[in-house]
Amino acid sequence: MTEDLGVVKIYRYDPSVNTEPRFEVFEGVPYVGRTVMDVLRDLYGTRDRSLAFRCACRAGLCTVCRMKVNGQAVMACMRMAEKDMVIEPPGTGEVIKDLMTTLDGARSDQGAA
Amino acid sequence: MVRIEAIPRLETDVLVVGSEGAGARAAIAADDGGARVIMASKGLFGKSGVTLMAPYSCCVAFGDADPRDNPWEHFKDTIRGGHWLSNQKVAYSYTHNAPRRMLDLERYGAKFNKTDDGKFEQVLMPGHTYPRAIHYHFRTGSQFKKGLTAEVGKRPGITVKEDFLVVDVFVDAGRVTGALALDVRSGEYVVVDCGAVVLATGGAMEMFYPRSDASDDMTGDGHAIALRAGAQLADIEFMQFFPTGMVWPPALNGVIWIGELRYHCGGWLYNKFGERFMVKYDRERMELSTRDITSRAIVTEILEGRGSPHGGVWLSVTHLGRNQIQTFVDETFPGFSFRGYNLLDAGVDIREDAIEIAPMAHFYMGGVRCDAGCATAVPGLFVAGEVTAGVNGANRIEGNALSETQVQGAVAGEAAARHASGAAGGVERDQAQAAVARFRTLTDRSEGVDQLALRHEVQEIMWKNVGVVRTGEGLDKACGRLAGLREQAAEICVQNKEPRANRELLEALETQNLVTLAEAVAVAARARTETRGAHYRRDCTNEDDPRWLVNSVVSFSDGQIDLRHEPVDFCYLTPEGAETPPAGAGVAL
Repeated sequence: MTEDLGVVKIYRYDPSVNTEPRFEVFEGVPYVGRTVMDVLRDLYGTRDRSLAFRCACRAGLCTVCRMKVNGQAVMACMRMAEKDMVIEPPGTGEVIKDLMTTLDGARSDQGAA
Repeated sequence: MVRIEAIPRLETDVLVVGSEGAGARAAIAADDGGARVIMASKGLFGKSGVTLMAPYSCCVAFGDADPRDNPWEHFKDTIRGGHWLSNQKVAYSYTHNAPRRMLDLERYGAKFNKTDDGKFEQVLMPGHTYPRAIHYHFRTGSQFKKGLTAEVGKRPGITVKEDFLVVDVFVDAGRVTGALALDVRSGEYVVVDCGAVVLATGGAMEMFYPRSDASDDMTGDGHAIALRAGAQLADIEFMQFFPTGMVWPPALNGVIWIGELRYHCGGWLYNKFGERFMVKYDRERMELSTRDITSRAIVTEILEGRGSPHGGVWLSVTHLGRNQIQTFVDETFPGFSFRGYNLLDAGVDIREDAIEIAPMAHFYMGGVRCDAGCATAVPGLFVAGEVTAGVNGANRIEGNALSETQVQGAVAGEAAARHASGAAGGVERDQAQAAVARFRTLTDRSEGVDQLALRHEVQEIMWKNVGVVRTGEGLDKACGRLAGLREQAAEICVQNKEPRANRELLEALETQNLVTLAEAVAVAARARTETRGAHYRRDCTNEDDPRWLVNSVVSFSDGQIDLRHEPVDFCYLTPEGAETPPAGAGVAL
């Protein structure tokens, strides 16, 4: 049985080079049983090493992988991937490149006890 | 060719490398000591490393739950738990300073659970004689982060540099003069002129990924930097594994809380033939055996070809009634969610399915060798937290990691400020140019070794041959292969040439550190022909005190790994039980 594959559109922007952000489409992407972070790591590893994104704890605690998936704010390591995804930066902080932002003002949910 | 161009420079008194439990505490202490401080995080401050991931226990001998407890009792438990390899002066400093350092942290804003009379709620943990784990529910690490980020934020003397990867420390005429860092955001290399450096970079569990439950930034950077700068590593063959982390589906890799099914729900472990294999390893306790025995049993099954499809073994509770399981789930992880991970969404229904689990690298006992003042063999180079060796010997008892960060952070930061006050930094221009040119070869060359493939190869070797179960034969093989990979690491070519936010370059620099450290670990593990603490040799299963009550000490000599062994100094407590504490023992200093 062949694995079901999805389509991912990712926000790409290097403010030091590009005047405008664009979306890059990746087709034939394995997504079943994977988180959004797993998908990003696969794409980075096998398709495009220039893709920029943050990852740290991989367990939903550090919150550095906040981003928008299909318009919804999520942590990439906690959200199961879908067949069709549009992935954008979280909307907090300045875009350094692609999905990696300064995350200024992002509040860690775990720190606020 | 060396490019003649100005390298950006920053100047400070103390550079702290790492920004979480130990690093932030070191920055605060150096600031208290009157030093100008730069604190560097390779990610984001307060959102990196493993401190904030720590769920529960932080051991400190307040004696609130049992007045018989004191730092000397904590010291003795730590030494015994470490199978006698701890540096007793370092461990003594840790247990005796822990009470006041934890009160500092509380003052910074961290909360801990208290009893009705306002005392700390202290819980008995395995390996400890008295109840001494303080905690904040199951989110203790988050309170460390909360207190430390608040305190650092109040101090204008501390400059926080984020996405700032320190790649090397400069040593000139036998002392630290500064460091070289990659500003990940811009892609520029930056020289930091400083009189002292504190390495607080955490562990190196990424050597074993995907068999790791730690954050992805634990890549042994401080270990490798220290080694290159001329410092020594000690007892690096000792890596602690947590027995039951999920290995499938990928979305849940490393989740260790699933192991609770074993303890609290009577979960059974099976190999691929459906055998409850624990009967071969601990007939009496079966799945309720200790962490080390369970880890060894699981890995033996996997390595001998009886594992599950994705490299684990099966953990199942399906022998219980569906309603029994549902009750357990409702009480412990409502909605089938672990910290937000939904098992059903991930395609795993434990009422019907077994799950695949394997041990996960969890904590690094070995590390950079230091004295009780957190000084290394290189003047001006200090260390704090998990990157150090000394407190935990061959095995760490639960709850000693978090409090260690606060004690050693404070000691190292203060010592670094004192050192820097009499030793200004200043990296020679030629030395800086040469270092930048060397690191630039990674992106300058047009072909070479792929860092990601290299990293995966190291991880596979480490897990199979230098992991939970080790043999002389496997370690020989690992040493040979890792020596070859060291040469490959020097030939890494980063495909992505874009300077800004270059993840591949960041990972390549980490991979070089992992390769350096991995080979040293394999060499040290091969030499230790006994079983002790977390180091299990299937070909030498006895703890061999007459021969192996020694610390492994690794240094670099002409770029080669040099391993020697030194007898442990039983200055305060001997294996025979003689106690000679220094003056003031039993009282927090």
